[in-house]
Amino acid sequence: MFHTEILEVNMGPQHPATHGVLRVILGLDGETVVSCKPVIGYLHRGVEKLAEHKLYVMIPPLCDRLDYVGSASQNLGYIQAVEKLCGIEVPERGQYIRVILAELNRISSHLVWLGTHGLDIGAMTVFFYTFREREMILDLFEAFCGARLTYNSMRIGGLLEDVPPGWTDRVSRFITLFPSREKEYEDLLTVNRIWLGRTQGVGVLTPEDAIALGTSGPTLRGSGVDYDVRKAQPYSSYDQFDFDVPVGTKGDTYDRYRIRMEEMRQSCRIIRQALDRLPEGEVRAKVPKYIKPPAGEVYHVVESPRGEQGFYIVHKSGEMPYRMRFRSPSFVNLQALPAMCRGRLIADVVAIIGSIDIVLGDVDR
Amino acid sequence: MAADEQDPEKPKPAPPRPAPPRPAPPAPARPAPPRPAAPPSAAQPGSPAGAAPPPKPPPPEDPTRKAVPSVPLDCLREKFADAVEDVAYFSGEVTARIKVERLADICRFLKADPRTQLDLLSDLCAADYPGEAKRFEINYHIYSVPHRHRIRLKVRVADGESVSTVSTIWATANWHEREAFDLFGIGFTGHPDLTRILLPDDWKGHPLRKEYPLEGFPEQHPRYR
Repeated sequence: MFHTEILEVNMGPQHPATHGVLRVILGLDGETVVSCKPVIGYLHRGVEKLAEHKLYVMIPPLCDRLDYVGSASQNLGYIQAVEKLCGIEVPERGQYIRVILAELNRISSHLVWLGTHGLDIGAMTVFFYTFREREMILDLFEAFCGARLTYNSMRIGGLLEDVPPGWTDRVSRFITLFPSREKEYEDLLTVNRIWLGRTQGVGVLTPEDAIALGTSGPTLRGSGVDYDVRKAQPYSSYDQFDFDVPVGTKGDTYDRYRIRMEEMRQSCRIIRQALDRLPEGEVRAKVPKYIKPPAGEVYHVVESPRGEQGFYIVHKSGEMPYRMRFRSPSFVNLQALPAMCRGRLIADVVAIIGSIDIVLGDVDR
Repeated sequence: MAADEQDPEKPKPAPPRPAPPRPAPPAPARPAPPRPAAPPSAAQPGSPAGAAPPPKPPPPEDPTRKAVPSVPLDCLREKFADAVEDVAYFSGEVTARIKVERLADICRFLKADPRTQLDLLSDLCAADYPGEAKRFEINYHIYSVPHRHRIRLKVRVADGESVSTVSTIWATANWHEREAFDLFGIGFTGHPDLTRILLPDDWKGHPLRKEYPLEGFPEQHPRYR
């Protein structure tokens, strides 16, 4: 047989399909990937070091800028970690509105993923459709807190303000409209032969590997492991809502696509229930102006659009954390890339990177 | 008042205020964390009237530190009674400090035992406590997907010492350990590829150590905060 030398190719850090500044060193035998080594750190900003020198109330904007596509979940996770540290109970209305925000944000994050994932693979039309609906969600966020991407709308003890008049009706209208829009994407992709050819059987991750590699979120559930923090360890009254956790069977790119599509529908279900049962009352508990937790340490996890987002806070004294650790799902999920790429073609690498849905700001922190 | 609270142990109310950003020798503007945890109230007995006294460390029978039942901890104590140095509870979370020599055995046991089945290493991170005999603390947040329980293991190592890697037990530890090596300078014996991950390969120093400056270059700022 022919003998070919292994060719090393740098994919990135400036490559449109790497969604930021990810560099992947690929060893290629012809077009087949024999080795794959992600190189990260191009966006490292030292957020953990910075957070050690900031008051507790000054850290949420830093969290927003980690995973800037799903920043409501970042907010929620960090603030709940501080609340857990201080033992603060949030009023139920505040919890419900937080759930609505987090789920709206999940839909918008999945829409960004779907659009760019389609763009990477060559299905350009979807991008324009998804960004149309994402715009509607961003408008809702703008009406709520004035920001479109990095919200910083939650406060320790609840929310900064209650929702503006008429906002819940707007959300309700969007939730009513969205399933028909999602059907448009499905019509374009779900049984599209090119889409199936590019995604089915590509980037298979076995359940054993998925757990060993610590993946979470749709990447883990695509492999058939039923682990969703919202169900497993409910927070912010997620236990009061009825929703399903979709899991895949094959662990390929197509399964991960199906799961995120289903998650958007489930998010709509959660938002609908939260709107219907939205309690009256305060949105913010009485908390002291200076947050001074007792000495202790907490590790709190939430389900961000990308997976298990962990916040580990060690507090010793004063008003600043002694150690602040952000466990980012993108960082951990990216580690599974070599396992998924080995033996595939170079064009599949693009599809696989898209399917694990990384945000490089979250990877590099 | 706010400034007083931020710098409780500032030695003297330094003249007016350190107006230039970096004055020459006196005490640091904001002491870097290696502070000896002096009681904050003692430093300023005559603080302005009405200033709320800082919260006292809660007594041990504080409800947030109440013991909670934990299957992993029970199994750990049963099997490795001599290796568990300390157990702490905080708001429902269980922390076990274990002997660093037994780490790999304990992790392998906790992953394999059918009662615990801690198969998902959720997070591995380090923390720096300078001034203590073993300054680095490594935390393992482990979760069980089938049983839905968590436990946090801790080990302590001194500067220059190494911990045995757990990346052979949970593959995900590979990058987490590289990160701890990169940002703290902790060694992991048996790690397949212990190189820097977030910082460039030629970077000097380990940023998450407490003595590392928050900003600036050492040659430009001999004194940093």
